[in-house]
Amino acid sequence: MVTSVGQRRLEDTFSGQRSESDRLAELEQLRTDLLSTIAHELRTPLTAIRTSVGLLQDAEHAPDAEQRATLLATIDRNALRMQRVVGEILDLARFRAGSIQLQLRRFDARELASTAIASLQPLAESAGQRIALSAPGSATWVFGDYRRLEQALVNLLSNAGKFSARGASVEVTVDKPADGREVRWTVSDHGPGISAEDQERLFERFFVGRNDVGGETRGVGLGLPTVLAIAQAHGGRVDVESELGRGSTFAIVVPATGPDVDGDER
Amino acid sequence: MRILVVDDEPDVVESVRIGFALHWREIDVLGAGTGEAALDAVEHERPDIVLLDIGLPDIDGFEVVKRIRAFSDVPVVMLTARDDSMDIVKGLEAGADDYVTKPFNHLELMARVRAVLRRLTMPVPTSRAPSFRWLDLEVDFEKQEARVKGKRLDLTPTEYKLLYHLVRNQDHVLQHATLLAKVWGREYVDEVDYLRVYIRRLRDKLGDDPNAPRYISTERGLGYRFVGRADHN
Repeated sequence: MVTSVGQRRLEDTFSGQRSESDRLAELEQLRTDLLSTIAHELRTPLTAIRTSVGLLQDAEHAPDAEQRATLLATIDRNALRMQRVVGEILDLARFRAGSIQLQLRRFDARELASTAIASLQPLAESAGQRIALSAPGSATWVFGDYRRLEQALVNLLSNAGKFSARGASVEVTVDKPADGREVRWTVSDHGPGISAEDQERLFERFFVGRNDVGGETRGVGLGLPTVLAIAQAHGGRVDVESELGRGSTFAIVVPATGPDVDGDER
Repeated sequence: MRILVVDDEPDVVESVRIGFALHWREIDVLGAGTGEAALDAVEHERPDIVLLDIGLPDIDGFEVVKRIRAFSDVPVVMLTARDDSMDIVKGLEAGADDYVTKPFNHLELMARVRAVLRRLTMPVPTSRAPSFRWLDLEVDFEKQEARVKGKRLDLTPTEYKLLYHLVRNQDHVLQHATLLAKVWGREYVDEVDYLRVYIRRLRDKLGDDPNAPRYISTERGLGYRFVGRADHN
């Protein structure tokens, strides 16, 4: 069964038609979740960085060349991780505040898929995974914010990789359903799948699934809410199809002609 | 000596491993990324001390330390990303011996590990003084044990040390910092949460009521006092 998320206006995702006390309770919960998430997701890489820097600075017990290389790689990896977390938090806050201006232009949806795949290719190769692209033979035009939609597709690909076993493949397809009125990027994996219960919470901020393959790549829980926010800002949606043990398929679906700038969707 | 580092972030485990390799060669570092792996390692690898992250992907660290305590007395130092006292108290109540707040560097971590190991090997105070008796409580300094109504209390070494210093100073207020320094060591003088947790445990075992104390009185903002004759006149 395909679940579509994104038919509602973006702000409904955050506020909904709930009472003021529910909203306040939600805000309080959000504050607590945010603190825990920031604490864990920023302080853990900071620990790796501080420990590594301290060891590199210690002239009395200097690390050997191999240890230095390990420590420098650790610093680099964890600084990037922190950069990504901060970026995700800021992005989602900006989407929520409606302060992100989409930079709209006409482009080929196949090109965007290729760029997103290329940026994830080194990570996939290091995990022995393969990303396959299936796209129409001719240009698939869409009007949208190239950078933001690429960010959304990269998030989906990154998730697919995290939840896939070593040696598994991830499939990306580009097509134009709804008589060409929509453009769709689909990412399918052969991972553990998502329970019906977890599917309901997938797009909640800071929700993190528990059945990732490695048990060590939890993330901050903002990737999918960001994907949804980007799709919704384009007047689109995110479709999810998953079953435990049978992998997951996520699709970003946006109007080929771009968001209705005068309408209710932005 | 073996140390088990439990953290779902492999880079943390690796940098700690390199730190110990450079600074404390006698220590072998074992790593575990999940609560289940940690429990398995404590049972089968028998580490001398465990550094345990709270935010694990399968079982949270509080639960892990509770399960460890069901079969092992190995010292556990919690690694917490939050420095509010609720997490610290929760960890101590679950059975942890100490905590380190992330982000830490290798020197802070090693200082904490050294302090925990030193504290655990600190001798429990003994004395040839006659046993202390007050109401239903008897503390036998030579045997290092306490009894209430003749029934021996199952006290940990830290709980006994705390009781020892309280009764040896009956009727005198022992300030937080003084008690912490005597029982935990000088580097712990600011860790008032430790005292609160251990005083609560001690009161439970003594059957004491903090609102109508027969043994341990809270001197608000100051410390604790073992009640004396003045309270019963």
